[in-house]
Amino acid sequence: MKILVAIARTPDTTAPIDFVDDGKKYKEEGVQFIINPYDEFALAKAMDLKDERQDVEVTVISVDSNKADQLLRKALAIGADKAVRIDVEPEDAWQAAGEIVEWLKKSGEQFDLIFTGKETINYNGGLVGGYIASLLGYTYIPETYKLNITDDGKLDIVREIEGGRVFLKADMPAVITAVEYLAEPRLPSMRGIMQARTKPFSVEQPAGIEPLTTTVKHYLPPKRKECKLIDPENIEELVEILHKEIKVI
Amino acid sequence: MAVIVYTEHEDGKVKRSSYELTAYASELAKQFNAGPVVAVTFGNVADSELAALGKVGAEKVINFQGEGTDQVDPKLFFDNLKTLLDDTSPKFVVFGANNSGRALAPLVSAHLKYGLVPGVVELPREENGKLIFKKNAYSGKAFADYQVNTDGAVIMLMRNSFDYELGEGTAQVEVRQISGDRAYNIERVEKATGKVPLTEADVVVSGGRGMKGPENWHLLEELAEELGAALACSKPVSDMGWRPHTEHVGQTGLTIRPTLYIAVGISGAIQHLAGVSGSRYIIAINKDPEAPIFKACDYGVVADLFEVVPKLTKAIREFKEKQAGG
Ligand SMILES: Cc1cc2nc3c(=O)[nH]c(=O)nc-3n(C[C@H](O)[C@H](O)[C@H](O)COP(=O)(O)OP(=O)(O)OC[C@H]3O[C@@H](n4cnc5c(N)ncnc54)[C@H](O)[C@@H]3O)c2cc1C
Repeated sequence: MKILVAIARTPDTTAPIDFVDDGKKYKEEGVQFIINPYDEFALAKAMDLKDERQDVEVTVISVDSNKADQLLRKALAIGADKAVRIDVEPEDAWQAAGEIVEWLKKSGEQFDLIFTGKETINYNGGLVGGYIASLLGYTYIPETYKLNITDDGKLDIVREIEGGRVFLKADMPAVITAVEYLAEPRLPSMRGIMQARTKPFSVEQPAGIEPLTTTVKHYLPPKRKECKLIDPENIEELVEILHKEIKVI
Repeated sequence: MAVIVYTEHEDGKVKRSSYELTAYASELAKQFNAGPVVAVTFGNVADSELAALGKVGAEKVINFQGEGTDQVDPKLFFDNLKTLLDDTSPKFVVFGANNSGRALAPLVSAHLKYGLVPGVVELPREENGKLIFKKNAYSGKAFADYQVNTDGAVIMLMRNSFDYELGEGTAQVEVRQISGDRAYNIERVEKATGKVPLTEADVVVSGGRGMKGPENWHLLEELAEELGAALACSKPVSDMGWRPHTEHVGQTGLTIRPTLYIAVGISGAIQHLAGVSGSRYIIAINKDPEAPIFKACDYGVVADLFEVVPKLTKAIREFKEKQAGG
């Protein structure tokens, strides 16, 4: 069974958010980049499947400049078998997904499962998985919380929806997007780090897919005015505020 | 030409967020002369409920009914939407930034080859003949302006982003039978009914590790009850299994934008704030005056939550009784 995990590079969750180039670009200096947290859950699930079954091969792919190399290496050290990087920083999800699909066509590689995270924590899109599924005609199963493969080769899945869960069975090939708890993220072992050095890592030229959207600029939200403290002995004041200002009672 | 808006209903009622989406779609139609607003909905719901979307400008509501329409299935739903898209060539297709939006909007965008903007928070503006949408970015820590490079656009609108009023009007309702294959076989659904869903709620009461344990949650349930609020929690609370993961808000949970967010026993870590900073008002209850949440809220109470929460619940109840009485 072949699994592809698409990973994105995002700033660390505690990194300061600031912009350069008139707001067009994120200020990267001094910032630690990580594998997008949702993609970590996806990668961990692929590793769990690899541990459970004998026949699993996991490829990680990223559409990004060489800034993503260390993250792909980390994925190899965690246990992925191969890494592929398509050498372009994509402008939007359509471009990223399109490049991945073009690479699949060109290389002739076929995957039974393609994982992505539910969304990236910087772009907040959640579109790459849907685009790939649509372009390949694969089953699309967004926001997956639990996944098992049954003895007869079906996907046994729990999806998260607003206020609940859906239990379903699906066929492969499928594109799955991961939510938290799909699997426990893993850390690379010393042995893994050593082994990663000799694993296949290929850098591919982009096919030249045009984005459908372009980021014009970013800006920070307006600051909230200073917090007003309410005396706990006079909680009626807060009730007044709930009524008069916030108007929820 | 048309503007298509994807609407939803729950417990027999059209969701409030769907009114907001339809009102937004109507404003787009007006601003860009983009033709009638056609709402689409799946599953059984009374015609009169759907016709009421006319109050926010829907001209027509197409209601797909039949087996498999009560839960989103990306393939089945999209295949049925596709006919409608091809018949109407919409300039805009509007979804909510929620589960169903994420399941369907990318398929629509790929089919129409229209740029898709997820997490939109405002009406667009036009610059040099291009549409520019303001969207949520960096999980609520920033905004971004996205330019759509195509003639039409697919939009996923964040909840509570667009103010609207109910007007007059009745939409024409057309029922269609759903047809086609499914992406998967749904075996069962577990869902809380009769409660305000977190992403729909105007008021959210949220608890953190300061609550000490699940046995204390009745304090928040009682407060939520008085406010008609939904419940949420911080990540450690769902990690420890005190509350279900579906209530977890923040960077790796849900992003919500209620009118009022009440954080109880939550320190206000940056990853937590990411998911709630779009709230119009934030009230914090925490015993530590140095907690970062007090840098991010509008009103704060520095106190032991076990004393102040019951007091607040009681004060609200008494206030409401007084209002009702006089
Ligand atoms: C990659 C990553 C992603 C993350 N994503 C999320 C996310 O999505 N959502 C999220 O919430 N967190 C997230 N976190 C975790 C985040 O960093 C914090 O650890 C978490 O938000 C803290 O939760 P808390 O406020 O409930 O607990 P704590 O930080 O332990 O705060 C508890 C608070 O309760 C107060 N308290 C205690 N007792 C009382 C009392 N009797 N009365 C009043 N106040 C009291 C304390 O003063 C304290 O401020 C993430 C972290 C990482 C690294």
